[in-house]
Amino acid sequence: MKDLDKLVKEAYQTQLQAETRRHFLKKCVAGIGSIALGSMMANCIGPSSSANGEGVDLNSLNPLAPRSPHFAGKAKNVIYLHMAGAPSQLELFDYKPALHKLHNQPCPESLLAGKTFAFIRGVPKMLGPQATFNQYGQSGAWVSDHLPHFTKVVDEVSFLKAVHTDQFNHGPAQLFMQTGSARLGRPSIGSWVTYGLGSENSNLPGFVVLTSGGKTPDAGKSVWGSGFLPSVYQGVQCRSKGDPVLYIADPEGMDRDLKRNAIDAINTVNKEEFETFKDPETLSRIAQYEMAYKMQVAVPEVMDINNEPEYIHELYGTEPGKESFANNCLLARKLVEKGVRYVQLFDWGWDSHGTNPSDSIDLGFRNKCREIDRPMTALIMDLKQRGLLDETLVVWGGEFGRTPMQENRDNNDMPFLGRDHHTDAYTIWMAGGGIRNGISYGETDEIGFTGVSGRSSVHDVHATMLHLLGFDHEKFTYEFQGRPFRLTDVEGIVIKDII
Amino acid sequence: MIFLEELGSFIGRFHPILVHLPIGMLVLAFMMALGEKLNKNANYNQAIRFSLLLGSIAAVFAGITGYLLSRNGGYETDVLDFHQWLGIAVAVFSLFTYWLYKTDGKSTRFNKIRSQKFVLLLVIVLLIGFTGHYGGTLTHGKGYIKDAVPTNIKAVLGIKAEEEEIAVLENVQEAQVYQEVIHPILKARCQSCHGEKKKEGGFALHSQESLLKGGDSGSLLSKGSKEKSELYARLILPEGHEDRMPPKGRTPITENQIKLIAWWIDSGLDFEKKVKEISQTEEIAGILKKLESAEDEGDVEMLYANLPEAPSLPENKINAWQAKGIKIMPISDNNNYVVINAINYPELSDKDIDELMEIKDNIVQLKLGHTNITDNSLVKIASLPNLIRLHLEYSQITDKGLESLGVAKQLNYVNLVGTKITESGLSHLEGIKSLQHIYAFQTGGKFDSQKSNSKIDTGNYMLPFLESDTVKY
Repeated sequence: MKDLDKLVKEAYQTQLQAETRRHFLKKCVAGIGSIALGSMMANCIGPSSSANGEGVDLNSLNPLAPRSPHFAGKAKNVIYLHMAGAPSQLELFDYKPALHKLHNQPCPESLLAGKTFAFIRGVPKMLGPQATFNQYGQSGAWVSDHLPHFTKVVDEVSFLKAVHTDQFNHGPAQLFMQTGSARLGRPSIGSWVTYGLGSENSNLPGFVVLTSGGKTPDAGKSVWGSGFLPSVYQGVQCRSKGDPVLYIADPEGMDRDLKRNAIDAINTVNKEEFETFKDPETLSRIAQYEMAYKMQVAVPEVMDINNEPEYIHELYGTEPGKESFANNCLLARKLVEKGVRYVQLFDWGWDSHGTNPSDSIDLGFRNKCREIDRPMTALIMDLKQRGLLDETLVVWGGEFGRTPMQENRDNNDMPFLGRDHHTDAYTIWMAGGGIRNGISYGETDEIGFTGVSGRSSVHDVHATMLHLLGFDHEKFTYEFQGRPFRLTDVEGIVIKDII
Repeated sequence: MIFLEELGSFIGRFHPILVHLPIGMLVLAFMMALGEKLNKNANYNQAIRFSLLLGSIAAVFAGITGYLLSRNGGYETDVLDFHQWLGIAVAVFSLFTYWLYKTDGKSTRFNKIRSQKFVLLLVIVLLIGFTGHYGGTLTHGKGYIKDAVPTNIKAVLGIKAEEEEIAVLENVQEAQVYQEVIHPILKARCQSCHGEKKKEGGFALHSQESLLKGGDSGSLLSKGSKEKSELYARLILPEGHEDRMPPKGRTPITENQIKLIAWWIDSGLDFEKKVKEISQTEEIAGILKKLESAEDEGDVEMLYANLPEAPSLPENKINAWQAKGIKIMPISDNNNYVVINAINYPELSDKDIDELMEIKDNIVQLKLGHTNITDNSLVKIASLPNLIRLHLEYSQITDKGLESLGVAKQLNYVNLVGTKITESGLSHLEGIKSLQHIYAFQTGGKFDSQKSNSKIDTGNYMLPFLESDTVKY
């Protein structure tokens, strides 16, 4: 206890150092004023409650305590499967037979007029679908032969076939998809959701991020950042290989009791700090220390897939100890089962330009499809058999689409087949959490260049997600720099056709 | 600035309370003036003056708060205008009348009116009546009083009952396209503002002639071209656009209804033909088919919509349970129905369930997976009147427990994953009519998928090995 007092004293002195002449003058003026006011209104005030010297109640201030939404939402959890690099909709879900006939013909000038592409220059050639398509399920959804397993669950899924964005570079487009703004500084969807709903399990973070494919998204960690929201709502990146969270194990020579004492002491100091300055970041700090302590036990447990039965490993195609999309899908199910609110997966390697075999439409792209087909299908099946799918919203998609034209980087022929970045139309699918079964909403023109009906913007997708979670996206705001901010900015219409 | 705006809207909400002050005070002034007329010996002059003073001040405040409230929007503008100017007239008239009373015998101006002070008071009362009526229309909607007139009296007075919703058709292809398909949509969604009585923008669509005639800006329909038809253009404007029809706050028109109207315009604005005589795309045929069933398409199923209002929650008890680790969350803001989640309290036992019975009317969801509860608790859980969703996965319950659960009333979802229940236990649940989802993955019994009820999901999904799985390109 002696040490603790020392620490508190030290904190007080540090605080005194931070005080300037201005603070002093301000306090004098306010002080004299309040003395006068106090004497004038002495009889108006009841017994003072603030002056009883009691500390802050940690529970009542816990920024991650579960909260209620605006109305009873159908979805309680979200699993977002983001294919970083943007997969081609034309080889997966958006079947365009007419594009076959136009294969290798030069693209008409009228299509290119007024459009900017990331790499296409001059007049590119059209590129027919590099896959065979069939209709599956009762809904008759079109799926290509790249995703043979996925055809089994198409009736659980609703497709948005004409999503459009306004960013044609990965970084900004990923930021737009994940935060509602192409520029840095806005909170990600997962941050908004944990800010609005809190976390169900107080031993695990409310927002977990898992990455695969060898690299993290181009936009960096801001795609799961908390922006202007308190940083306690930012995504916690967990690794599926090695320690799930870096430095989570106790260092040698430090036992758990000692750690507890240290955290208690630090939290006491932080509470004093909060009482003085009322900075929400201090609360975040306290919550994070507490969370980290609990996570030391809870996270290794939930992140361990070794104890899963063999048939589950077969279903997902998982190999424990590897960093893979399959492992991350299984982990996502486990995390949601344990009450984690928002699980964000990024799988890198979908940028099929055709510059080399691994990023070509006919080779590398097909390998990527192999990597996700079984796991994402298994995820939906597994959530379903555990009775979790009706409350878990699964979203799949990239940050933009790919062009119906073959890429001709800097007006040269490419060694492999590839498609450039395309903002006008791409496909996103959603399942569970109140999404209707087997709907295909929106349509593109006969070559898949642009949406002709049921176009949905990125804001519309966000509005729909928030709606399913029980939020009116127009009223779900956070005050920052003098005005309320929304995830959907000033746009967004809930896509009623798929809910 | 946001603070000021919010303050304004806060103060504005006192308008409905404040308006009653001028009503009472000014009517009282009129009553006293009437009393003076009837009883020549009475002299209420001072009292009338006082009532008028207070009443007119109150009227001014009512006006200010009313203005602040109107800034929140959401009111029909023409009714609002009437209400506003009538309200201002009340305030002006009452102030003027007060001045007349005050300067009685001191000033000679307005002497002609001065003698008619009683008439002025009568006018004020009438104005109050009209202002109040329009104010009521703003809050309760048109026909609030009229609709509540007893049916017999309505018949005598000749008020026709209005059909709100679109009738279900028996065979849509045999129906008359205008009379039975298009007209009912227009009637339900547009006619309250564009009808016989009220022709906003000079446009009415209750009859064929007026529909074709159009509004102040001319014809709104162009035969065979929805693109040139203003009526269609107004329907597809983005949500929130000023000119969008139906306007904000009114029942919106659905996508499918818009598609039907577009189809009707494009096919040549026919008023005679039957549906089957007009060519239809597959999509339109599908939408038309839906008119044969009463189910409202696109309507989000609301599980909790049918429940009565829940009693309030005992706060200190809730806090005690929360401190233990039992999460108790209202399903939404300002709602007393709760979800109980024991995710951080695996020690939860039958004793805790006994305690939770105190709020049994409030519980709609119980998430008791991985806890220590046993069959004994299920007797109590079955008696929860509003329980909709029950999670019992990986708990100790057995078939015996399911036997007692069979009497549950509202149950829609039961999760029994990883428990020891068998098929015979599940048969006890067959009596629960509302039950739609049973999850029985990883359970003890063997399930005959042919025999067992189709709503039971026993999982065990497998994905076959495909040769393509191992091909590397």
